[in-house]
Amino acid sequence: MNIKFGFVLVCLALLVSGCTATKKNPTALPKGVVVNKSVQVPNPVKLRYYVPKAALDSKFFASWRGLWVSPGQGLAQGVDAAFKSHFSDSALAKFNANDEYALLVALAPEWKPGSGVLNFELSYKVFDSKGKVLLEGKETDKADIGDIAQTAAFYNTALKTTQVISVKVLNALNPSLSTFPELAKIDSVAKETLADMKKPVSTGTGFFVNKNGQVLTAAHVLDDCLVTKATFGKKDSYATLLANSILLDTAVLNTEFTQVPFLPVREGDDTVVGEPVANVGYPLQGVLAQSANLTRGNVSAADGIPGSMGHLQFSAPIQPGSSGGPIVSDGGELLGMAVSTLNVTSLIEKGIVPQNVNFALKRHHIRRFLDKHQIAYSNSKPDFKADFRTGNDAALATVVKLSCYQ
Amino acid sequence: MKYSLGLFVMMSFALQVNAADLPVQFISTFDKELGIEEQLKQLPQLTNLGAETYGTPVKLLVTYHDQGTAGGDVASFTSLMLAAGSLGILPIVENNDFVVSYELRVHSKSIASFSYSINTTEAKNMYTMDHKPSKEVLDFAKTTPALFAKDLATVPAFKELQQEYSFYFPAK
Repeated sequence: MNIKFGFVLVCLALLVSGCTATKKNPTALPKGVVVNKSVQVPNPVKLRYYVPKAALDSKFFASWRGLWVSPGQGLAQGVDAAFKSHFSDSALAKFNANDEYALLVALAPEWKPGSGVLNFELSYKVFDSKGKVLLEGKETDKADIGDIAQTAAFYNTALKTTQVISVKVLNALNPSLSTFPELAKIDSVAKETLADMKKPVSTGTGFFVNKNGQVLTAAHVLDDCLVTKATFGKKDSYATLLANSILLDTAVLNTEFTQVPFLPVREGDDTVVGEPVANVGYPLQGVLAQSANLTRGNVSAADGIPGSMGHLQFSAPIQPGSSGGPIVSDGGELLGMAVSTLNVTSLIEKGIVPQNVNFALKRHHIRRFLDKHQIAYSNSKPDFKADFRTGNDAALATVVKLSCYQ
Repeated sequence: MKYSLGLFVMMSFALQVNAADLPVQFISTFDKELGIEEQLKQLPQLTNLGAETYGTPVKLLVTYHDQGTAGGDVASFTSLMLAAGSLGILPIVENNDFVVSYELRVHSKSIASFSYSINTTEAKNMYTMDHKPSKEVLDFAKTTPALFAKDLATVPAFKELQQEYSFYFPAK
């Protein structure tokens, strides 16, 4: 009797875990969801969808299982499978290509894990080729997390909610090649209408290199931003990429600001070890003050760690969000740009606690980058007798906060 | 024969590319003794490859994993049941793809990614099972640097990276 009972329990456990670990069939619609008979399926209208890159890339380390879990992968596959089951020409929108669309669906997903349950919200907006919003709303679903190592729960919730949205698009708009004949370039879409402009996904720092409002920053600050905003004082401006170097981790942005104060680059290439410097940035936005943070320290070494490219080491403290901030001498000349810090976590695991080991790109390489892209800047002779307040004021007057939206 | 073919591929690549001495950090889950790093260092575009160039933004990750096959998973489960039923007298039969992955990253952004795989079948005793790669798959892994060299030569982003490095860090 006990053996039989145990056998039944094992079967039930296998059944339950099997259900939570199994991806649903994208052609089977959820209960109560029906496509109108008058609608053509598969539909030939060219549909593109937008999902924030941060959501597609999301993953976390499940320490209790010792493995990485990728909700983003489940989301990408679930959304894609749902749209492909209804639209023969559907794909993720590509903003760097000559991609076109007749219908564009902007999706904003949000996972809210509960106790053993995964709650999912998917907001959506549907645009036509003229950028007009045709439909908008929000769908929700929840699923048993089950074996979190599988992405099935993430896939299934994304699939189900997108299926509902897809059917709403079909039933409400009854799309066909005659009702949606026009195609528009994805690049022509006003990106701020797609991005969630309420809250940036990340922030960083930049500074003016000339009076025309061109901002130098670390390229990684702008990673996958759909929209970038520059804040100077109390004024905001949209910022667009003018030039970047993936190798140096450097970028220049155009902004709408003009006649702005800017930092001159110190003449020559010598690095004076021990020289006092100031760093200004907008670190830990949402935690620290929204005004610029200024820290002071010294140039600690003329080079970075082995293999680094064009770095100097400095001791002024930096935090996440400080990247792209200027390293300024007491005379107010640009010596470098903050780009990275020592990987403290890995060193702590080895029993070493480093302090204030930060790296900046040297001005020699900044100058070469600006020359390569024909971006205006000015040079300045070193002033070693200046009061430290001169450097502080110059740094504070030229720094901008950069906010990245997706 | 395999190795001489690999050497030929590497040498022919050397004739095509006048590569700069781009520092690349080598990160791998293979044991150093296997010699993958040494083989890769022979490539003209990776002469400055090393495990201790921590500061470079260019990283080459060489990893391996077993990937289950549809038939292999069924065979493995069935033979596991039989092995358990026979108290370990019968072996567990596993059929997997052994996958060696190469990924080149710059500032954490992937610019090239290639995988090479070999299908393997192994019979293991349930009491003495280990998960170390077998000699067969390690021999296969030794042939992958040559395949990677051939594939890397087709990546425009890597050529652009080399050109950029030559511009900002010209040879003295």
